[in-house]
Amino acid sequence: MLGLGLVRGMGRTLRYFFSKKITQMYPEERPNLAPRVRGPIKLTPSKCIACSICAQVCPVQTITVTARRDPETRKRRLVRFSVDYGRCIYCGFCVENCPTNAIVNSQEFELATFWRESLHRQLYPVPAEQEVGRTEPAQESGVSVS
Amino acid sequence: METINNLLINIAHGIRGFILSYGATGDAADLLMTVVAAAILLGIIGFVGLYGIYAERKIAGFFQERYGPNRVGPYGLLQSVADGLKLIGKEDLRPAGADPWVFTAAPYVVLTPAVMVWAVLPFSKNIVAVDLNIGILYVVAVSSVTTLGLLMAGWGSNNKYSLLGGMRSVAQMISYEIPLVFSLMGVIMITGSLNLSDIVAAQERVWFIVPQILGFLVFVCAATAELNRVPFDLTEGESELTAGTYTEYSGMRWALFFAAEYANLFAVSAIATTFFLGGWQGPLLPPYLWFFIKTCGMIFFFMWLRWTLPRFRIDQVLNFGWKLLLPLSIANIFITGIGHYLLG
Repeated sequence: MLGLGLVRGMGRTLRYFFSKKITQMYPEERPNLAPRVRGPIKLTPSKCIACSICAQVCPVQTITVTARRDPETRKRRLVRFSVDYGRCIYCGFCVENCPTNAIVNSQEFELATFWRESLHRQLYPVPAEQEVGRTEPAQESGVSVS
Repeated sequence: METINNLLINIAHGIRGFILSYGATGDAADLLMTVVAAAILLGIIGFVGLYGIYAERKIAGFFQERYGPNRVGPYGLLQSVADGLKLIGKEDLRPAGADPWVFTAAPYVVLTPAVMVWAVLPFSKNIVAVDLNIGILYVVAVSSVTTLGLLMAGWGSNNKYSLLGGMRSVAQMISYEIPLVFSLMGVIMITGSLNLSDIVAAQERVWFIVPQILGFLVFVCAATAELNRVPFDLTEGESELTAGTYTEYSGMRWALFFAAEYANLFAVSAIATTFFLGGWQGPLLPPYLWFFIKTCGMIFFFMWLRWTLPRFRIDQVLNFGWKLLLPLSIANIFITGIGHYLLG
């Protein structure tokens, strides 16, 4: 019958009108990220053996590991670990290659900052006010053992 | 009950008494009351312009399983106010090649008839700014001027898209004016009056949508086309003509076009209410509230149509208007005539 499709279409849209909204009210409602999302990396310093494999596999040289040999045990110990999230491509190679699972992907995603330098984060030791102030200028990437 | 029903009328009498108490003569008081009525109507039109846009966005959101505007003020109620402030603050842009007078005048030519139509709308029993005995003729005549404004906007912008939009609006709106008027003819034949208040009064027992269902359907189609709303928004036609007639407009001039669009939407819904849905007639609630509820229902229906249907092509629009709506509306007049002869 002529016009039946019109009525059916109107009915369909009216059903959508009364159906539940699918909008996620973001700032109030936190998004449910996939468990394996490749978010910014997170370091567990107690697990880190300062092998600096992560710095070596990083395709964009965004990880800087500073290590020092312990004079008594003759083992490498982590002095400083910093990442430039502004350069990170979130490939996850560092997470894959970490022998002790010290580096994992976090669920964080709100990285917006006012200064590019603020994206240069020091993960160990954690500075007191990392978010607000400008951290010191980016260090030369790679490994440096002192 | 009577007090609530006559609340607005009593307020009007109160204002008139207030003016008279300052030593004005009866005629001067009437003149001042006209000014007051005009100011109130303009205020309502401004309100309708702002909240029509809010309602459209909210309803669009609901049809798409979104919330629509919900950040500025509670439930986003101040969104339109914020948008209006932004538009006022915008730079007054005019294309270098535009015809300055035509370009500048066009928004006012579109807005003025939209406002003028409101003068004869019967909001309630005895609440009407001008109780004209040729009410509907006035509405139809005044609202057809809108076409001229759109053509002026299209021509004055000196832009191909604008001109195409303007030409389309002329082709479409003039075609649909005929079925629009003819669809109202059935009601006029039954009532025997062009006065909107008389037409409402004649629907005390049964709404005209029952005997005039064909006329109502034709009216809804033709009115949607007259309003340039989806599925007949060829004048604007974003996907083909950028924004059609409105392409070169920004800031306050563009806001005027929008205000006119929603003032027209309300006016057309009010006329549909008056002609087919019994106007302010209804049980329990005060008449002005009934009028408002029915008009909002019609507005919702137009928005519902908009968010359901895709846009017509220009040839389909003209075919639909001339080959389907016009014969249907003439048939409606014929059927009404026979019925009127046999029953009345």
